[in-house]
Amino acid sequence: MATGRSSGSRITYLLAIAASAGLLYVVDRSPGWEHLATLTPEVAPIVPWVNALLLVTLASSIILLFVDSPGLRNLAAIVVSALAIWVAFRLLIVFPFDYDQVSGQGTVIRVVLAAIMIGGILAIIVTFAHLRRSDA
Amino acid sequence: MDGSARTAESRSTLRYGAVVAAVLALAAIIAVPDGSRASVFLTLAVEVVAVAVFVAVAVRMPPQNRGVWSLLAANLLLVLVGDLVYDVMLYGFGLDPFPSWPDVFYFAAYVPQAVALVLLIGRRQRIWDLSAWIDATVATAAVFVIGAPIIFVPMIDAATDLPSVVAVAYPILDLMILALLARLVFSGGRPSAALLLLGASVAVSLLADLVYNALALTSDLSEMPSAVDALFSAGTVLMAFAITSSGAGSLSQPLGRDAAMISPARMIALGVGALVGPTILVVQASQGDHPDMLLIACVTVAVNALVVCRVLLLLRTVRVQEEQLDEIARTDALTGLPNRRSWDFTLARTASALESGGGSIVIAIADLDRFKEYNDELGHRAGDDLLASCAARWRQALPKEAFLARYGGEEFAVLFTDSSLEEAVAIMEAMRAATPTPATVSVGLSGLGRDERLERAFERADTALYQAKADGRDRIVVGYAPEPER
Repeated sequence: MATGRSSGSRITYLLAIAASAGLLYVVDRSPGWEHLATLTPEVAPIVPWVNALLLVTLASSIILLFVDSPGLRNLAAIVVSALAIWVAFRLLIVFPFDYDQVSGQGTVIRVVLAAIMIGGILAIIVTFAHLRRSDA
Repeated sequence: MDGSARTAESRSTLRYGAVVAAVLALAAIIAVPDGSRASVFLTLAVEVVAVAVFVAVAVRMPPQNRGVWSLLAANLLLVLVGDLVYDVMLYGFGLDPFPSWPDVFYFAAYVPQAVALVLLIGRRQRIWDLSAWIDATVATAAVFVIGAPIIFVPMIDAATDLPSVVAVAYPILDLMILALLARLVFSGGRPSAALLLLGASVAVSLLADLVYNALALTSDLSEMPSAVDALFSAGTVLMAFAITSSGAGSLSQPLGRDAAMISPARMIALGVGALVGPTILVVQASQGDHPDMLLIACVTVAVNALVVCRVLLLLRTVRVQEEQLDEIARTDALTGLPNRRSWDFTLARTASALESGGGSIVIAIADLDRFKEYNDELGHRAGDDLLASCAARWRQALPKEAFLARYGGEEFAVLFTDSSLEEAVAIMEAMRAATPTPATVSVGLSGLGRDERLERAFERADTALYQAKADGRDRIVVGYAPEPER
């Protein structure tokens, strides 16, 4: 079981590396966030936070791929969750998306952002509780 | 009637009295005019009494439960302070209390509540149980989809200024608490009265929040229906009943199992959760009105993906359990060797392989000498230790290809495939030499003649074993040497 869990974790880290590297490329290189049709210019102040989130995810996944210790894993979960909550909150407030209200796409994005915030808050609380149990 | 029975009876009477008093108080809150001073004072009085009872009991809880109940007490106290500030602002100074300072206390109250629920989950069961989290997410998503057309979507779409953003934050945080509550309930085990009342309290508080926030955007706060106040108070009162009910002291007891396996009731609940979205879409489409189609369809896709993941996890659990059961059924518990059932299965498989391809087969039966006397003299525990020790040493002495099984009692059987009779005899001599002292072993051995059935070789090995015993034990007797093939 230990081997299965460890190989499962490795696949998760590889997927996280691929996803964050891909998104970084899309946001900053090609085509770049300025060319994404669904985003408005108001997203500019949030882009550095998005980059920070993606870079932290990328770096922590690479480290965890080689050194999968519980302490590092919990620390990465807390930092990534906190950044994700902040980015989702900023996106929810600014809402730099070019969707019309009638189609319902804007509502879907808002719900997804709210779900990310709920998931992030839960992940932080659960990770802290897990840390406390591990210490006990 | 003895002392303990009298105490139990007086406690029961007290509890019924408290229930009647709480129902009357809540009814009185509803009965008085909306927004009146009487309504405010009654609501606060009920909440103060309930919180006081809760705190008094929480501090007397056993240490392992005190933390969780203290966090829930902190949640109630923060809400109570928020209510006091709200009433002072609204009725004392005529200020608009929404959104304002009371919301700071109300939002802060979510933190100890969420932490308490997470701690409870973690103490009752492994916290990262993916199956239980999926179940909880599906249940929460179903509630969201039901509430989407009437509460969530209008509030989310209207969230353009501070009051509306604050208003929408409550149901979002309520959904988070609901997810945790569902996760707690899906930990499995028989729910205690304390857990049920705790769940009811959280559910009633969430309902009150939803109703209040929906009304707050459209109505004058000073004319808020007293029924909403009664709902909030009911949540606090239920919490007080939860902490005083049976099972409160053992709410943190570990359940000792995961939620991977699923009861029929929960499977039905998952199915219902997956069907809520499509049902609402059907209803809206039949009315020719589907304003939330995209959102509900997206949530439905996500929920169904989760249900598929849940089924895959269930299948994996069933497969693992099947392998474990198979292992248990084929393994001798004492020695860890394959048991007789496994021997019979292997022999049948080998016989089938022989019919199709041929090959050289040797069967050996080993029997510990004077084992009964050893058992009688030193006890069954020593006899068991000897059997386990022999099995371990013999397994090491035999090549990997040799199949060693415990045939029964102190009798073991070895199957050699692709070994000549001479090679098998030499290996069995090494095995005999590896027998832990002072034990000795007698071995009967036989090869397989051309066109013979395996059972015949086994019978000959058994006869050879009897011969070895009769010849004085601690030796190998070969029952049959098959003629070399020409």
